[in-house]
Amino acid sequence: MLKYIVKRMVTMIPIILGISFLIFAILDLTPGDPARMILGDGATNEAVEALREEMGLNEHFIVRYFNYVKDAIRGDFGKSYRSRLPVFDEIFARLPHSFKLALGSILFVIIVGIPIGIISAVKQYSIIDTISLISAFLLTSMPGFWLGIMLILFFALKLGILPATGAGADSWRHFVLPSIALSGSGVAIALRMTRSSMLEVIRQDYIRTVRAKGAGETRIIVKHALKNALLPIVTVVGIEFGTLLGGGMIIESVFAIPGIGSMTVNAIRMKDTPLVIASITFSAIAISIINLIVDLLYVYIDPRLKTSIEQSSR
Amino acid sequence: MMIEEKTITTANKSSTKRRGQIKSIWFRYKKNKLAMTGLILMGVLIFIAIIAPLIADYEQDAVSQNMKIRLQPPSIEHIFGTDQYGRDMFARIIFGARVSLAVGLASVVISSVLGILIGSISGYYGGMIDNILMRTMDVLLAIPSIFLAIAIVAALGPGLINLLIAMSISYTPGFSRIVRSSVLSVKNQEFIEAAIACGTKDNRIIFKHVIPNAIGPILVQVTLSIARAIIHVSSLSFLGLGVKPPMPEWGSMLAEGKPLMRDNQYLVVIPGIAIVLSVMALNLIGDGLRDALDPRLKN
Repeated sequence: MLKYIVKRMVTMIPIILGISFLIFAILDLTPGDPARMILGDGATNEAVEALREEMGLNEHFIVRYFNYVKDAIRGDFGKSYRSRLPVFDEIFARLPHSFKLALGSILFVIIVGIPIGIISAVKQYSIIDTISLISAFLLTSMPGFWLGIMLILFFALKLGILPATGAGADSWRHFVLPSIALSGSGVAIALRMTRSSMLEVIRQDYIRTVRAKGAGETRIIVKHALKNALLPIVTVVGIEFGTLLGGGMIIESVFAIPGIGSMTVNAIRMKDTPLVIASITFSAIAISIINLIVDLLYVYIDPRLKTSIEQSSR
Repeated sequence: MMIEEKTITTANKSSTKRRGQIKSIWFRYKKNKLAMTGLILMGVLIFIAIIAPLIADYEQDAVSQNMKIRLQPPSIEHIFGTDQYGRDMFARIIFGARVSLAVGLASVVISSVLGILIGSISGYYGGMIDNILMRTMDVLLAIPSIFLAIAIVAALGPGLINLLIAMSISYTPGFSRIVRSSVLSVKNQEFIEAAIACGTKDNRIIFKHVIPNAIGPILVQVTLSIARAIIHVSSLSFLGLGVKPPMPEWGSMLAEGKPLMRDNQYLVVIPGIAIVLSVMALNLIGDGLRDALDPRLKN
């Protein structure tokens, strides 16, 4: 098992190198001179030239990239061009906000999507089933940021029961609306997946056997059916976590949350190369780690998979 | 001469069979009421987008400012009201449909063509080429597609064409993956072996035999991707990275309306409904297509 984890970690290295190279190259094409941006328009050409020399911007692109990687291996990911702070400080200052947002929406996906999906499957073709399928369909057709705007309109401006913007350090209340907005499509996907996966399991023979033996309906569903229906559900929830990181960016800007997403958008606009590379690589690493955790969860849910994983790591 | 005739007849035969297949797919699709609703809805939206210049004047209604009639709520004269610059919201919505639908469609067509090329080469040849292409795609896939699109737009500068390029690049890896896996599932079947044994050239095998047999899942993915692309166009425009103002676009209309939404709810409600309707239509078509292409999948 450990071998498998280590192997997965090792395969991440070329991907991370690839991402950093790609972002480095894309931002290098971006018009604008970072040295000029740092010093402002009033600076003399000599001062800009001196700073360019100091930052190593006059070197060839490939040389600069290798220098960057060399520093990164030693743990120095550079400083933000704008704030002159180490990029790691910038990222970790914003991480709690993004993390709370992602956690909140995963929570919604799990506590709303999965139970409704189960009810939908158990009461197939009932009114509850129809309503939940229609709402799931509407949610998948709705951009998260518009859902966010509608939520602000209704819960913050009309009813005034929840705050519309800002990530107040004081309470969870600021994260309720953004989390719902971000979780919208995830809830819909989890709901549909749970429903179809449960429908498949419910019809199997062993469920009939359990029922014949006189087990209660709740026990059948939760203990026997759900356990076997869980695998595809875990997969989609895992994939959703990845999209949450990307989608979080727009939700963060709708609700003015100072998280990693909104920081990245601003950094891209400001051509703050070190910050952009670090934050995008960071998101990619986070996604790969989540994928790894999902794969490990498979083994926990279905121990039969352990052999196939151990074989693949040989 | 003889041989030529023979090939012509077999070609005819296979084309009637093909037409028969398309016909039966259409037959199954037609029976699906929701899918037909989606198709009709999409048809109406495309029709409105095409005849937009006949309904409203682009310069006068959708772009030029008219401060005398700013922020008028929906009325008979302006059925969707006017925005803070006195521009007619209805005109902006229908011209915005052109941008959203065109960019959504074009970016998916470009990326699916690229994806079909990369995916089929990679899946068909395997080995070294497969490894290089797929590892490159892995790198692109590891970056959330919206981040990738933003970075490319930042490099190229905002604007319609650059938005299109950015979105096409960010969708290509997903398509190559799907095409590759469908090619792999077709590749080892006997009729491909037969074609190889007949001495058919590789590119002919790929385009004539492999791709047509792998097209089903790709087609479904294309429809659903256009839906996603429309959401992405509006998201990028909402962040100010899409089309340049004053060009009307649903996402940028939402961004302009958001600061004023407390007293003018229609400014943010109407463009959102336009997005939801078009995405919904495409999702319905995609789901219907999936059921029609493979009836076994329906639960």
